[in-house]
Amino acid sequence: MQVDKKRDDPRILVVEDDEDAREAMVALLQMKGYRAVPAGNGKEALDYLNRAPVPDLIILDLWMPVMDGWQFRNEQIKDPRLAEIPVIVLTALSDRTDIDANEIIIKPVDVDRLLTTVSHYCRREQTA
Amino acid sequence: MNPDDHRNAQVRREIEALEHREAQAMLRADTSTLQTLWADELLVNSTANLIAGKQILLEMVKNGRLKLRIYERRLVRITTFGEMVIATGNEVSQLIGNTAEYKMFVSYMNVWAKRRGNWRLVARHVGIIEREKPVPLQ
Repeated sequence: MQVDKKRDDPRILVVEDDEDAREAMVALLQMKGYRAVPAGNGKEALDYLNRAPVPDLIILDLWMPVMDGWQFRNEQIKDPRLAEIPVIVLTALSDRTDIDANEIIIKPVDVDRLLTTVSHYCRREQTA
Repeated sequence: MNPDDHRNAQVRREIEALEHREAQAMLRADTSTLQTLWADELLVNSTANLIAGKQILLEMVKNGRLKLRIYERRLVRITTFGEMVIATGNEVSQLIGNTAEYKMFVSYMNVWAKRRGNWRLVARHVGIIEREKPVPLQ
């Protein structure tokens, strides 16, 4: 019996301007079987979302050039097609967590916590 | 040289050799050696601002997700505290990513501790000094 209609290769959009962090997170998530897609700022992320299938999860940095995480989140919420995608915010600004997100993880990011949180929002297709 | 100085000098030589061996193992993706040199409780805080433990790091090296073309380590200072040693220095590395190669200059601090009579890497912190512009893969 199918208990969850999620895909068995959940798609995750990683929005992070730091190349090192972005590459590392994408590599980590791909290694764990997720289809991770990188974006360098909020605008790149919106461009991707407007032309690609809706991802299962967005991992979002806050402080980015061009379009930051707060601006991106405002735009995302305005769009009914995108508004329900869960968002995990990553930030070093522990005093600037004034953002509507499903989870907030403080940098440096504990990989174990990140993967546990990701798996919560990206449950793979299971059979009972 | 008093006995303490003699012992510290010996420890420094051992750690220098281990630092070199660990760097070579990283470069060659030699997970068997890394498995031996890394303590089970190893924690690494990387330049990517990710804190990772031994198993996930070994998995990344083994699966080619942490692949290096260049990895050079220069020890600057070793400080001993009995059964614990702090090694600090700098590194030049060139990481082969999904779409590009990244050359980085970093400072690092490695903490070695005795585990059942053997030195094991228990903690590592890496800070970026400079990063070159990524070179797209051909």
